Amino acid sequence: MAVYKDLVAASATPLVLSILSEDESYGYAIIKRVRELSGGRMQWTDGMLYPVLHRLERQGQIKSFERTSEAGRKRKYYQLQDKGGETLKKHKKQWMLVHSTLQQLWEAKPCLT
Amino acid sequence: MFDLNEEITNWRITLAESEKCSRPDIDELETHLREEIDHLTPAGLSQQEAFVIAKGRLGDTTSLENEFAKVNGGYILANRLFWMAAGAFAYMAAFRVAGASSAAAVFIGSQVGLQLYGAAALGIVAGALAYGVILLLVCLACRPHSNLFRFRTFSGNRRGKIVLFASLFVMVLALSGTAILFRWLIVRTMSMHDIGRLGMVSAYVGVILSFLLPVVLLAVLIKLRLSGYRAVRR
Repeated sequence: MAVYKDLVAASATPLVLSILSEDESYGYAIIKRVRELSGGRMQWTDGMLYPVLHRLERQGQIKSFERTSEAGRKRKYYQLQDKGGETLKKHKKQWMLVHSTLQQLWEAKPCLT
Repeated sequence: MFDLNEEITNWRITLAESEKCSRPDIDELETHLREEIDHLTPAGLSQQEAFVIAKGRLGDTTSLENEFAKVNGGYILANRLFWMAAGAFAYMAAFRVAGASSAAAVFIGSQVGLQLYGAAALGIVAGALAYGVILLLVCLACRPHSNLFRFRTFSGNRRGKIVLFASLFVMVLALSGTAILFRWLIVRTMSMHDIGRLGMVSAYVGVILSFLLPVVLLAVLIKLRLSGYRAVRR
């Protein structure tokens, strides 16, 4: 199922922040996690993740640092900052609001006759 | 024969040429690409197949560049300012080269005994020749498969840019130094009357050469467009 572009774009930031709130991670692992969690149905264009990460870093919501893996590969890891945690809470509230509004409209309507 | 490292390098160069992705960005994307390839090859795919799939999953270069451009504003501006500054220095360098050669010609002419207009004509010819040589070098360097001007070396390559900038800077300083040297030489070897006459000649020459440089630049621009420079970019 191809998710609408706007929806993918809007959900990118809360998804990334939520994944990083579990634990620090790096680009490739974040993409894999999104695929796992959505059962493979949310297929991101991998490269688009990085501008999102860089923007969040510039806003001070996450912080990056380098680490070398056991295989000797140098990776850029990202870690959630306090500011990011605050933003994530706001995102949660807003998404739950939209979700509950839509849910009320989509629940089976009582028959009027 | 499929060479993974060569293919990845070509892919990196394509991204760098747009001047929208910085070197750290490209490094990060390459790490991702290699991780994806490592993930796909155990599943039975050849390295070439894995590379193609991983590249596709990463996204097409145009969309990537556009997304990165949205967050890389500062970098892109600094990059453009660099090239503008380099262009300004190149202009100064070309101007000084022509000036130096015409000053030398005028000096030699007056030593040899040429009169006012003779020396001036010699100076103009020397300056025009200098511009001609510069124009020829630029045209040679900008041929599609030329190795002289490795544009790709400078894209996203900080060291290449520093080298370019430094060499232009040194050239301008060196040529300014020779200009001072000439004036010193003139004052030492010529009489006051001759210096005055030489000054007039140099003024004529300078004015005429300053008309020539814009013409030269225009010719360079036209030549670049005509030689299908745009077709060189993949």
